[in-house]
Amino acid sequence: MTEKKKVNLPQKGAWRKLAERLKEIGSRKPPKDLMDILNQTDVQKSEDKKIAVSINPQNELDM
Amino acid sequence: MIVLKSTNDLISYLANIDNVKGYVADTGFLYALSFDDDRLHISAHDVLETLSDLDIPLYANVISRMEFIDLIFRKLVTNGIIQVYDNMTSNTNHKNLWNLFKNVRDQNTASKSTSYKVDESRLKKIRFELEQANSSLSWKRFCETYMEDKLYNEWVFIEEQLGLNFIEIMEGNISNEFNEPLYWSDMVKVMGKHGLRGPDAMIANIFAKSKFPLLITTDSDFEKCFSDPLDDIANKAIYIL
Repeated sequence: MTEKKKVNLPQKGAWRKLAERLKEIGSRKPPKDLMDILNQTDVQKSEDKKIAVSINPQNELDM
Repeated sequence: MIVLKSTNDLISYLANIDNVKGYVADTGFLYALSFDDDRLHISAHDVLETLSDLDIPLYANVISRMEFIDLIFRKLVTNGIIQVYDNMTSNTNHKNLWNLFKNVRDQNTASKSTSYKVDESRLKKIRFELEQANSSLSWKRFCETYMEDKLYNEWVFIEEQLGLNFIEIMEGNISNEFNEPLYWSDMVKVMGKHGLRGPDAMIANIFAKSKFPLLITTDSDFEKCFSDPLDDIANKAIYIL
């Protein structure tokens, strides 16, 4: 005897709920940490370099 | 074969059929139901409501099942890229990424009514450039925000709520939904005869061999495929959105 398969019918509003959820995901603001990485500019990079040198003067003395 | 063009046509057609076992839907129909920037979104919902009110179940094949979730993935990536681009500064160090994102935003703006989605080659470039920006962190953060693993974790349950039923049948086997066994070679013949791509030929073959009287599609190629009066599907109908 073959087992009768369960047949799905759409729940009321399920497709609209999915459409709204997908729209909401797609309109989210990007996370700050991601944008901090992606918005790095040359000015920021050179500032970072200057700071990096000044916090570790020991290496320079050893040279 | 009968071609239906409106929900009134659909209602009249179904009124004359006893015991409709279900209908076959292609991926374009499923996608149109899911994104409101698709030009067929409203008409797809009209058709769905008509069929749901009559308790007629929706069937798709396993290729459409895969294509559907893949289209959702590509659309979510596209929307995420546009959000990131809108928050990016043009003098960023990551110029390649900025250019890639700008290109996606421009393509999306240019093809508003067709619901633009990034293709595979752009997707690979974007992943590569995001990983270049900061190891795997950038791509990971992007995915966490715009792919939302919660959606994917719940996906099989969501399919059930959406009323999706999938046709899974082994080569040469028959089931309650079919009049005759399904063969891979028949699908390949459809490809050669009508010049259809594999996924479409598979839908055409399933529709022709099944007990389902109706195919809902966004693709007018299916109409030409079933225009031969000698084909044994004279009483079946195709609804082209």
